[in-house]
Amino acid sequence: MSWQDERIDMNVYSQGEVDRWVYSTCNICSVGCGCHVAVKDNQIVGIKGNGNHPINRGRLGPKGENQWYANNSPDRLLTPLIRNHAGQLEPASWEEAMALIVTKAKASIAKQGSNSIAIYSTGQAYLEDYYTIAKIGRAGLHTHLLDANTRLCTATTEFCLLQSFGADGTPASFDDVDVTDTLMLFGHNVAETGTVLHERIMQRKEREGHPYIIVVDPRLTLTARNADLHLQLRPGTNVALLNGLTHILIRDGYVDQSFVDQYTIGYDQMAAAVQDWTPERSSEVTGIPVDQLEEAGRVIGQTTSMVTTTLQGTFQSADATTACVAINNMHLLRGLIGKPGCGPLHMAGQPSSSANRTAGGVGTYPAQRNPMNPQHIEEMATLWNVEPDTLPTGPEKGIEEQIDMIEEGKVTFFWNIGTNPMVSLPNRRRARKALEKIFVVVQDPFLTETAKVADVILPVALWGEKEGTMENADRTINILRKAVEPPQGVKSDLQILLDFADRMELKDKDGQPLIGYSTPEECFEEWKTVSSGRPCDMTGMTYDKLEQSNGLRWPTNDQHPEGTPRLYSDYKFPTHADYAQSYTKDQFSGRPLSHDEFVKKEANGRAILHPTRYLAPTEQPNQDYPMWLTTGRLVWHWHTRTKTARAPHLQMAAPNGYVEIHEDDAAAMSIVQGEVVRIRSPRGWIEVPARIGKAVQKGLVFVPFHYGSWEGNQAANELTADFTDPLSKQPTFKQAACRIEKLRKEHIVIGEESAEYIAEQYNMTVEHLLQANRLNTPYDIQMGQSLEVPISVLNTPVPPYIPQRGRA
Amino acid sequence: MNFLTTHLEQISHDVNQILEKTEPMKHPLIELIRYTTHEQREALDHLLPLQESDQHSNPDLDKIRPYLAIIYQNNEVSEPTMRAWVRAVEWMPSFETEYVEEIESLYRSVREQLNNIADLMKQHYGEAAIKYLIPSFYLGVQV
Repeated sequence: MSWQDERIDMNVYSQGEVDRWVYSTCNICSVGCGCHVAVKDNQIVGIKGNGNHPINRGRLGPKGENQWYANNSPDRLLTPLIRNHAGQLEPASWEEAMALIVTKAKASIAKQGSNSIAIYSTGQAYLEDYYTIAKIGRAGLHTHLLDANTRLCTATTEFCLLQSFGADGTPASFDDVDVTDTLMLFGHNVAETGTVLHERIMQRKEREGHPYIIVVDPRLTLTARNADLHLQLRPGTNVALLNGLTHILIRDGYVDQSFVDQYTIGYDQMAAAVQDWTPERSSEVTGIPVDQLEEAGRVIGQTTSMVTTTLQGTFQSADATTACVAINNMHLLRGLIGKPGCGPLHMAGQPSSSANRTAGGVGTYPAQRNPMNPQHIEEMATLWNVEPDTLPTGPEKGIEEQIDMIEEGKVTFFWNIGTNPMVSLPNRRRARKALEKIFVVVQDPFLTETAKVADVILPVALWGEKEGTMENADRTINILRKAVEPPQGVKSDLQILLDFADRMELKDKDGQPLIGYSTPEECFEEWKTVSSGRPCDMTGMTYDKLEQSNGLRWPTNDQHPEGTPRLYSDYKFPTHADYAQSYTKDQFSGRPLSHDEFVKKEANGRAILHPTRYLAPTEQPNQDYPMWLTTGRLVWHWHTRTKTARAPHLQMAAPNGYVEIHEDDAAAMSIVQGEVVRIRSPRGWIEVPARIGKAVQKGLVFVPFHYGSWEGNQAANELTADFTDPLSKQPTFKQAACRIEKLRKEHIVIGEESAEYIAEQYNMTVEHLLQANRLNTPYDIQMGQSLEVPISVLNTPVPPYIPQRGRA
Repeated sequence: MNFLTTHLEQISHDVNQILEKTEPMKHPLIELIRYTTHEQREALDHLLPLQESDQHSNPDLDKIRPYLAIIYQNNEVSEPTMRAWVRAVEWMPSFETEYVEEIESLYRSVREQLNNIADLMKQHYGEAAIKYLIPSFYLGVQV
């Protein structure tokens, strides 16, 4: 355990002592911190960290500490809503809402077939919800179209693991971060997206001087500021960098040939792909100086232990899966996997997106079963007691492909569970236009931006109001106990799904109800049977044991009763065709390989090295749109702010969107600090204040994606392009082209107007007035002169988060 | 000639056209499209001669399966890529933009043939035999 001591972070607002503390897990990021929920008078009144939980020892991040305010928000939805003939959403009973949903679902299937129904869920619900979605969707509705917002945040993790190791499940864990000599944070701004993990890393660094930290990021983030080596690459060049590093490893003899020979296949093709990627070529494409590349290559080549983490800077970039596979390749080449302090640790973007992948609510079949393997489909049919021929097979469709299908009239029923795609999807205007044409069910605690396209809205329980389990980024299954009943009129996701299955009369092949459980724990017990013998085996878990153990990492079974901190310590990989989760895909095009093609590789328990071909970003700056645009997260907000905007402290810390602009670019355009500018891309525009500094490199602007109201004109996804990675189908939010347009009005200087007087008229400083007009002194202003005045200047200070508070 | 030949020949023609029209293009998405189309071309080069040897009977499913799989699965990845390319060159026009209609039309034609083949295969071999070969989206309405 890395933490030297516990520190109980607490945020309670209560008159007098709380009535009870209820065991739970933080429902924000993918770190999975243990916590207790404070309850008084049957209301959630706070939270404190769980000092016994090994992941956080009582610590909580700023979003985690404030997540409970949303539970008590006065604008919670307390009744279903149905859109009436006048186009207005009006209150309805559960009976009316569910009856309408069932009628529409049946009509859609009857007219357009099973694949006319799409379920688009989330990474913030519970494993039991996902498993039930998988069962209803695949065995009940027979639709092939199950996807989730995990496609936007973690799909690349899954597909890079399938490519390299044959099954999902990130090899290393946080325990390995605690003992590694070298930590590479690749496109992972952990200081803002996983504050507790960042604190854990930095405490050890402060204490022991380890690990050596390499940060790969085009921005000088808070994480990058703490790095030993910051590789500040150009946008969209991750694979060019990794190919250069791999070239150095091979050139300088750092390959563990014995490991490669015994435990991998595909070396020759992989090596051929990087042969021409000399440091000079890599430098030319990435913009990273050759000496920095050489230094990174030397460190990675000589280290005896290394963990590489990845997040959205990798997953949401061009060549997403190929970049992550290149990282897997490096670990395999150096034999740095399956040992303490070693392995790739591909993160997840949400608290339980990993659980959705594992349970089969998205992507492949439950418990890492291959939808192209007839044996696996037979197993599922037996487990669910349905006819195997009725189960849909073949590779999945991502959300962007589903939007294509909606546009083509093939999908007519879209069930949106626990996510806000009208803020989070790229090129959101297109998505809105598509969803407006069809029947849309939205299941959410609040009236989000996605309500605009909803035909029915179902109000659901939040964290703390329901029981279940989640899987974090390092395969830990944590339990969340129910602290309070949901508000009157509100149901849990699981209750709604079970009600739907019942009303649809979904049956198994013996005519019995398809869903035989009625509580989360009963569901989990069924799930355990489904997981038996698979990589994610959870047969050794129970709800009580999860609580007593403060989480367990899968597999947890008879062989590993206390869970498994790291995978592949025996160097046996799940790449036998009859066991693998996937027959893998062509590494360049994403074409799924057939059984025979996979068998021909003869992996048979060995890991797979893939050639990593660089493909330039789909959209790049040009004359009309000369700047790179990248989007991302802030430490103070979570996703589309559905919860965090309702927490006063978080909302106060970062109430508005903005655009980060490099100071040289701002100077070249005479843009002043805080000036509201228009950012325009080929898709749309936003108007946001400029934050000028050095956090972004020249030629790049950054816009946080949290601010998505339809009225605010600050939504980053008005700008982004809906291109996707060929393997994981994850959208490339991180690269688009844009331009900055100044929003100015004219002021003609009359009479004796001074600079001070003019600036005062527009609530500006003299300095800004001069800067906006490229003037050196106030005396440069002459009568009759035309001056440009920014239409608005807004200061957007974002206070730094200080995780070390409370320490002496 | 068997029941697949005409459709495969049409696909072969369309694939050649796609390769020819995209040859001078440099867009990153075209790189992907050409890669998948080349694979389809190679699969067709194996498939078409097999049709001649099976002129009067149903083609041997085991023989044609690997090549048909490559054609279908490549179409599954190249269709969305093509649509993305259409959006890309409309947002940032170049000489490639003037080929949008032609390329879209070729893809529609390929799709039509693949739908036809899917229905014929279902008739001749039964749904169970083609379950893992032909994505369900190419078959008629599935209830």
